[in-house]
Amino acid sequence: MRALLAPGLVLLTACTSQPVVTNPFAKLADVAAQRQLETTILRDMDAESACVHVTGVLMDLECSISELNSDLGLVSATSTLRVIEPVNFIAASRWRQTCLGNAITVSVKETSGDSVAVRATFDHPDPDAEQTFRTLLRRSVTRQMEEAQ
Amino acid sequence: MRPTTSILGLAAWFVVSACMYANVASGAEFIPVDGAAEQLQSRRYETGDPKQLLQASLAILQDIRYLVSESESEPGLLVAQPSWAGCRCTPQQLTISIAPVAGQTAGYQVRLSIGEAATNSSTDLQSSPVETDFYQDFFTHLDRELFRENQP
Repeated sequence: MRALLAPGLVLLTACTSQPVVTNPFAKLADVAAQRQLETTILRDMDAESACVHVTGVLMDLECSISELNSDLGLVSATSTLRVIEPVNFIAASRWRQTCLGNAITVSVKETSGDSVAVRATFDHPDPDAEQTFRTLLRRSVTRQMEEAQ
Repeated sequence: MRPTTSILGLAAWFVVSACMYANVASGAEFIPVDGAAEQLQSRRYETGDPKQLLQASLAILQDIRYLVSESESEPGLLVAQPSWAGCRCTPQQLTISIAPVAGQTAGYQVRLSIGEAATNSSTDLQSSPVETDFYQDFFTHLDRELFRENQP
């Protein structure tokens, strides 16, 4: 009788239980504050150039880019990590580790005064990963400016 | 382990698998959308800039941590999935389309559809309170976003 109990319970649970359905909007708290944390303002730049920088940074972070729409200002990517590390990457190994496994959506939007707002959202919100992205983005812009001079 | 227990365990595993498959498969059935469902999924906006609607929709998808897998500016289309794989507790695919309203020069219709329902059975697609809330919340956030963007 006891032997029947465990499979019986498993069977009953699997066939009768419904997964808890949640509405992702219910979990949203202070959207404005969260957006501000995720956004980097780049001055003297248009959306298309910003998308190029974003793509470069995501590639440095070993991300595979799944969608790019520069007209809309959108880059989607998923972070993976290769076993053999390529040389001459700006992103140090530890930085790539911080973003590992994340799905990243970046939106680029032109704001007033020749600036763009770059917002990067990570599916596993992590301050280190977000900071890494911002640092690399600023480095990429700075490097381009230095090369142009 | 006694043979009876092993056989019972194996049988239970088969039945559990079958139940899980049945739950997944039921979501793939085709249910034609009626007028009421379309009304629930759609809103009209008086704007001459469909890109603004797309960008506002994108911002909301980012808020709820969905990953955009497809996008088209002309005609307006966004397809997104939750990136946390394996969780079947939220809509598994969102499609947002933006199309001009016939007969209006500055009117666009935004339509949101849930690819794979947030519920176990597709039969309650139009009656699930969670889905109704989801549509309403999406458009509430879209209204807010557009209002925010139009502020000087």
